[in-house]
Amino acid sequence: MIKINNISRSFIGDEVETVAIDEMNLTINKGEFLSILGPSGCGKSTLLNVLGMLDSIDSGKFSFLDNPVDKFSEQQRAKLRKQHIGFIFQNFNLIDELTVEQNIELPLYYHNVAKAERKKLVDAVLKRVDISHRRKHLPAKLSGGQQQRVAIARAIVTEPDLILADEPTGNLDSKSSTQVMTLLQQLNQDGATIVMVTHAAEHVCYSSRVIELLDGKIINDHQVDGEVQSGNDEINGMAKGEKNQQTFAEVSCG
Amino acid sequence: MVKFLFIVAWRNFCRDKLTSFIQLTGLIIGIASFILIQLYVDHQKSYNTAFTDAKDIYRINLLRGENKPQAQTPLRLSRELRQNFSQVEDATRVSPANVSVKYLQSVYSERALYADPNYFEFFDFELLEGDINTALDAPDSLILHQDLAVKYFAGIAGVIGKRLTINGKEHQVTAVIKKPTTPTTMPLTMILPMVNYYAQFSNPEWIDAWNFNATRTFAKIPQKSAINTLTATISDYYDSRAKGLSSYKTNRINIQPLLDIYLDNTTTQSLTPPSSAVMVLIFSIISMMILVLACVNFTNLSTAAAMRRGKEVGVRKALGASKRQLISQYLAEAVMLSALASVFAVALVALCLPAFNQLMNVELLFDFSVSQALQLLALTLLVGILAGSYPAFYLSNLSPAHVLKGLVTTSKSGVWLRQSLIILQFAIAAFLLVASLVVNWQMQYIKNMEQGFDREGVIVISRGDNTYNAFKNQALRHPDVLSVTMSHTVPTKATRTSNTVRRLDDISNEIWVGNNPVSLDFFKTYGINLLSGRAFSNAYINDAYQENQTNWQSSTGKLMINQTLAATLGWSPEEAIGQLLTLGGGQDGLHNHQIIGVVEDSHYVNVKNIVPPMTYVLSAQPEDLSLRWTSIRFKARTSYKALKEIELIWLGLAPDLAFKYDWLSDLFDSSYRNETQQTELLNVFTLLAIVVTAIGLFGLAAFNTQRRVKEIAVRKILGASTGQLCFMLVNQFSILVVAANVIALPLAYLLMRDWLDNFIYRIDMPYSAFLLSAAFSLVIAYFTVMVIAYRAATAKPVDSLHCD
Ligand SMILES: Nc1ncnc2c1ncn2[C@@H]1O[C@H](COP(=O)(O)OP(=O)(O)OP(=O)(O)O)[C@@H](O)[C@H]1O
Ligand SMILES: [Mg+2]
Repeated sequence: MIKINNISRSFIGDEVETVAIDEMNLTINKGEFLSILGPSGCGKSTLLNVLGMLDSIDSGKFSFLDNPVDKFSEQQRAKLRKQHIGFIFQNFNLIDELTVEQNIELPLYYHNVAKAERKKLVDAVLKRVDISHRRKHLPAKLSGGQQQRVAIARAIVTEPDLILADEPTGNLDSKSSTQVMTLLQQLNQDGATIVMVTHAAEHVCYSSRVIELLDGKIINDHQVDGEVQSGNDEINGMAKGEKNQQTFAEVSCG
Repeated sequence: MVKFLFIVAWRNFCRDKLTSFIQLTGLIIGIASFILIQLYVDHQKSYNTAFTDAKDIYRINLLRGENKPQAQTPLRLSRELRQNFSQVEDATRVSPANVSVKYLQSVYSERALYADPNYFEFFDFELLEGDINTALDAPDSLILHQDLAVKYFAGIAGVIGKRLTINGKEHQVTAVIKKPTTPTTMPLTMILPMVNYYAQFSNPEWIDAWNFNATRTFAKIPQKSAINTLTATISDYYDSRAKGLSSYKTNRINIQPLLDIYLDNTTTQSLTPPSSAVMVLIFSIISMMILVLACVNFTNLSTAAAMRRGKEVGVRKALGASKRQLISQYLAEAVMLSALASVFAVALVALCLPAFNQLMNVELLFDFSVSQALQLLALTLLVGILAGSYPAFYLSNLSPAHVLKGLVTTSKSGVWLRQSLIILQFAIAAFLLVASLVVNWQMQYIKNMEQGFDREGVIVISRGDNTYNAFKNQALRHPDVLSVTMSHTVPTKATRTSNTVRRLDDISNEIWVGNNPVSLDFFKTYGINLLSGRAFSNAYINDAYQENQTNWQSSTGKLMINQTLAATLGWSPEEAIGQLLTLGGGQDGLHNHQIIGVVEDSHYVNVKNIVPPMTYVLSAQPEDLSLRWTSIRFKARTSYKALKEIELIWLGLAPDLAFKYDWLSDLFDSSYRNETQQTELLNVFTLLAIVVTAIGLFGLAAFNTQRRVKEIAVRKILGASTGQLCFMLVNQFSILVVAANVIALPLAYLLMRDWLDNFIYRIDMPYSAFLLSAAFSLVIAYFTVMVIAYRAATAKPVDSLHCD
């Protein structure tokens, strides 16, 4: 579904240049639930933004559903994004002035879905995330977990092929986190490809594959219930070893 | 402490540069416009205030029949007032006339004032040279205003005793008047003794006639309470003497304060064309409005910015700042900004003043006197406090707990206030827009409407009776000249209105008419079309009008009338031909004359007056005193050279008489000069009001959009297109603009309806002005907001998502 080759993205600040993604290679297949782990500032969000075409890349190749995204204009990317991708954020990013229902309806509106159809889809998705009873509320009146479920509903209402989630549980307590993770897992089982950034190692268990980043490079890549795979031979020459084993020991589910 | 206040204020100013800049620009424009308009309004109101006794001086105006009040009075009125009315302390007379001044080899035409010796006891101009008490005593004395002294003697020193030949008689300069800094309705020209005015009369009885109005009479009445009774007693006195001398049924007077003269545009025949009190009032209001707009911008942006400063307030309060300290902090900021704006505004005014003076044809001074400086200081404080108080109280009232919870951002009252202020601003702008559109169109209409005469290619020259026949002969030989005529009055100038006519079969029914004695070729020269019959011609010896004062019945002469008179008499132009009309009445006997032609209506003074029913009679002798103007029609595109050649012909025949001419089209334009200027002023300040409003909207839109960047990013990620986002951002304001129009337009309608009703010849209420104004204010709002919306909508969403 996604194939990136040697992509880089750096930010030129006032004094220093930060390389957020450093000549990275990654392939994501349809149906995967990919978790991205790594310390703060290692480039996780940047990678997610690049995948979601919210951010551009400096160099490298990026193909999404066989579209050469790196050659696309901003407008073409926006179109692709609109058709295929749903986003979930750590801080929910619901629109304060709109009710739960209206928030969820918004992407359908932008997709030119007819009104009756919009209502049907919103109803269905509200049920799915189990928030129907709060449909008329404003986001400020909801708990964090409820807000995130609304955000998820909004992300999936257009039935995107890919869902990108940046620390979806970052602002939630453990009970709400579990609810959200279960929901994502269900979505994945129903066929959605999911890429999720997380700090919480225990949530990796819900996913099918984990990559670990450090300073803009992938230092580990493995299937959650399979063998540890090296994501990048060049760097893994040194990265392989006890430390990595230990890391994955922590995250392995079982 | 104060220093600290200002340091913090300055830091805040620098922190949010865009908002501060917009606030500052709005205030600068607002304050500068206010200063400029107030200078103009003060100037308009300051006419004649420099004279020491100005408060006690009044002008006596005549009210005859149904006519508008007129400033021309009988020459004897002043004497009668002094002798018979004890409350009148003194009275004086001023009569303007064009004179020919011969100096060295040239002849110049000047407007002169003939005045009584006590002129300076009323109008105490400052003299550069000469003795104010004796300057007008000698019959050959001559007083020059500064500009004229410079014109003739290239200086203002040592002019006393120099000589000028005026209307053929030698005069000696006895005084030079310093150019006053305060405007006055007394023309700044040359002043001559009144006795010389009499010398021009062909009939010495006019000096004592009650029905010969040839001077403006001013009276000093120290006792204000006496005015009402004086008005009544003088009116009776005048009526008992003037009754029967003319056909007017009533003869009253009114007593008008000298200080009111300039802004009274009802009374006719003032020495200086009047301005309009209504216009001055409107300008005062507009200047207030623009100032309010600027303050609103400030308040609006400050409360908006207050959301961002909420945290600062919370912290300050937590640190123990009292409410009073906070209020003074924020007020200090506002006053500082308005002081800064005032400084720039003063510079701007100084910069714009020359252009403004030229536009308005005034000489406003901005000399920064102590009082002006104090006024400016007061204005600065007022603006600062007016604009700063709401934000100050609003901010200082925030509870720190709320602030920290982030509740400030959703403060409903703040949003509501800002929106009402935007509505207020757009309502003012829309109102001014409609007003200036309607005013412009009405003025356009007046100037372009059919006047009934052709104003291109005609010059009007002062009277040249003795040489007229020879002049006409020689001038007609010039290849560029089409026709030459003389007449009592010409279009753009007033007509006589004291005559009456009656139908023979309805002799008791008097019809008031204007009367214009003309010589041959008048209608041809002025391009006034004949509707029926024929024009005066020397082929018919009986055309010439001749009153026989011993046997009125045997007066001779034919009549031409205008269409309005024909209609008033109940005849079509064709039916009128050959009919007899009865003239005379009052003191005169009745006499009948036959109508030979009917001409189209033509306007006289200007179209602010209705076309009166008119009679024209043929005045065969150029010496006839009622013929006051010579007019020449040229072929199209005459050259300056041709005019010079005509002047040579004129001076060859009358070496002492200045060839002073005016193009009829210029006379026409100048009869609307005040209106034209004021229309332009209205346009300029309407534009400024719109600019200030747009600036304010720009600021608020920028702020609102900034507040919504995250929302915009989210919507974008959810698939909103740039167009959809722009529309959303712009649309929130269009409702406000529409609301503003809903408020402003009915108000504008009422006011404009009343204003248009003042005109006899007027456009229908132009509803398109209302549509245009609504559309235009929407376009302005859209355009302003779009600049910001587009930038926000095309920004990369990722940049704004992860904050907070
Ligand atoms: N817009 C930007 N401008 C400049 N530098 C940026 C920008 N966005 C990210 N960076 C820098 O790029 C690096 C990677 O940032 P990124 O947000 O991807 O990290 P992250 O892994 O998501 O961290 P966290 O776990 O804290 O969210 C960081 O050093 C960050 O400072
Ligand atoms: Mg991140």
